[in-house]
Amino acid sequence: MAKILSVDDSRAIRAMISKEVRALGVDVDEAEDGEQGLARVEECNYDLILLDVTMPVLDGPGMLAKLREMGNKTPVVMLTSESKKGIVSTVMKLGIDDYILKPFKPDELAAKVKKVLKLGAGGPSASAVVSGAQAPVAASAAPAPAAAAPVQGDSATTGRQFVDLMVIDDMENVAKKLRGMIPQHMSLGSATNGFAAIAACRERVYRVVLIDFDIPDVNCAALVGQLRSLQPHAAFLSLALKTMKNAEEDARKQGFDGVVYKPFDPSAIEDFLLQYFDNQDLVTLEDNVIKLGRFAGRDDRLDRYFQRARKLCEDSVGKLAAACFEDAIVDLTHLPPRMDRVPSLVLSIIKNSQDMGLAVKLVAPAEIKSILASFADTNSVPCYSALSEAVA
Amino acid sequence: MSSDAATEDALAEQLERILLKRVEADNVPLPTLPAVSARALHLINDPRAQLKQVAAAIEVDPLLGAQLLRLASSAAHGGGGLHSMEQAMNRLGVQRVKSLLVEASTKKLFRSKDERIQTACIGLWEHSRAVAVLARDVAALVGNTETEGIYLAGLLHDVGKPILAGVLLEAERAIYKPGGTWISATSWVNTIQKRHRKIGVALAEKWRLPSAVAATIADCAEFNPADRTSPGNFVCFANALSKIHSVCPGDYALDDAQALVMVGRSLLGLQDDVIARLTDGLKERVRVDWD
Repeated sequence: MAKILSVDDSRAIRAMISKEVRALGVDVDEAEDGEQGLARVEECNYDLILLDVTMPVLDGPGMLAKLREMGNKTPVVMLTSESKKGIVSTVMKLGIDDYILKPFKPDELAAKVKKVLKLGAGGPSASAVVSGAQAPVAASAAPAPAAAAPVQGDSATTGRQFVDLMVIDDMENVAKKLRGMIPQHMSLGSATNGFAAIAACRERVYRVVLIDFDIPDVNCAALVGQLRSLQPHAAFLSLALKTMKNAEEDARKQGFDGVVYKPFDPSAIEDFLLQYFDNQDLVTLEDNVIKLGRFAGRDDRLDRYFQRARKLCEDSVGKLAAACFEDAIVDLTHLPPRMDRVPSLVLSIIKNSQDMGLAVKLVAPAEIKSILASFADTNSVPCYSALSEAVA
Repeated sequence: MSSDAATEDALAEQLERILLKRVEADNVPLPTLPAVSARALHLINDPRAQLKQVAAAIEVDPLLGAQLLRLASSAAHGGGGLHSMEQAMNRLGVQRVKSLLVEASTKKLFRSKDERIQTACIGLWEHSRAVAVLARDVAALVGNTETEGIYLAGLLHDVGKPILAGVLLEAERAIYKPGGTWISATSWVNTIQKRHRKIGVALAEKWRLPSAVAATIADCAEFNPADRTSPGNFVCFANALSKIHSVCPGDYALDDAQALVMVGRSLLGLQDDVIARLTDGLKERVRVDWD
């Protein structure tokens, strides 16, 4: 049986690696720093070493250098959160076979271990993302940005409940106030101190965590650091007073991704929801009328609005076809009159409708009509000024 | 060290000092966006403007118009049968037209009457195109929808280099004495390498390109592991990938490029066979005819 040495100062990471590697039928030994790692290597011949970079006593590059000095040529895969080219380049020169960036997916670990050990193809292991410190959290097919939406069913597979928002503020009213300003279907958790926040973050998966910038007796930067290791895919935003000077800059220094100001302003919350949850009622469907909602965010989010609108319109056209409607009325009254985006959206709706065998009627104000009239592919679509005219 | 080498080092240092002073004083002349592209981009962003006005603005530059028609008539966009610029724009889509306008304008910056700069610039432009194409393809592969912005950021990530090359040449001429020593191409490249990003960012801002383009030019030297799908990560990976495939002029640290590709594979979740497909025939794909 092949044998691997896992060298990492995090017990949680070592445990996770051991579990995944044993599932491949490979034996594992563990060491918590480079010095212990070298001692293990002297006692036993390993087929592969999985090596962290930053560790106390002796770090990964230090252990690797000593290992190669000793003439030991055991294959090494770096498994680290270090991505600086200078450091990775140094360890590459010392001789590594591959590299895995934390947080990592067990599938990636399994594939790279099998490649180095030249093991045959086996079934993939559990598909969770392993964080830099603790338990598995939500996974997605593509590498996920901070606050990316977990794919459906994630919470079920990981055993941790998924929650949209977490508010950490010593004033209970803050969470209550926010609860009243976000859509009913969104879930919100809250904590009034650091201990409760850490406990909650161990038990659940959050998409966005809002933390009061000034909780009594709490070092905000340290708390954010701890919570980030438990919630590597969440966005962390600071809750700051409007009167606070340089709030954005201070928040970034403390490790936050941004700021939400108190007291809450409805338009700012709407903007926040659009940025992190895409939760505007962009498209509504009533009978055979597809109605596009207003764009309420900042200009730099316009692209996202149009992308979402396009996708939701496509879904709506599919529903109309399934319900045996013969035509679709698309109400563009509230659509931003952008010449660079409107024609493409309308063309996509027309094409989808044609594919589904539906005729299309548009309802649009003069500005949008003018834009559509200037395009050969859209100027022949019936376009009405009012919904009542289109329905008649 | 020979006396020639010492003199050359001193010259290079003197040039760098002049350059640094001008960069810090914002005294590097940034080219303006060519009038035709500027007018067309302005109209595209104007909700009151009509497509035929945009088409008319582009047709003022027959070469630019021909490029657009040629691309829109390519097999990738449905083949021939185009009768007007409006049809070509319809087929390409507004975002693609925007990218083409910026690309055509940027290409002009990579031309120089000076033979030395021109030789370096041809390779640099092909490298920029390679980075743009790879960054866009990788972004699309991992589900990022802002591919046109990422393409532009890749295309412009080195745009500060030809601008600085021109300034450097001017400075060199100012301090050159007949019969004296000229600095080597390596010293040129190293000096430009150190300072070009600031100029690239300033140009992107002057041309009013999306703020993400300027931010990416500034931050694409290293990965940002906290935001795996940020535009800078795609450009950083594509830049390293094009270097290890030798689509990059001059001297560069191959070790660093190999390290970045190794990190990028894990960061972006890319398999070796996918990377091989993305880079297949890259050199030929980005080769440019300087018509």
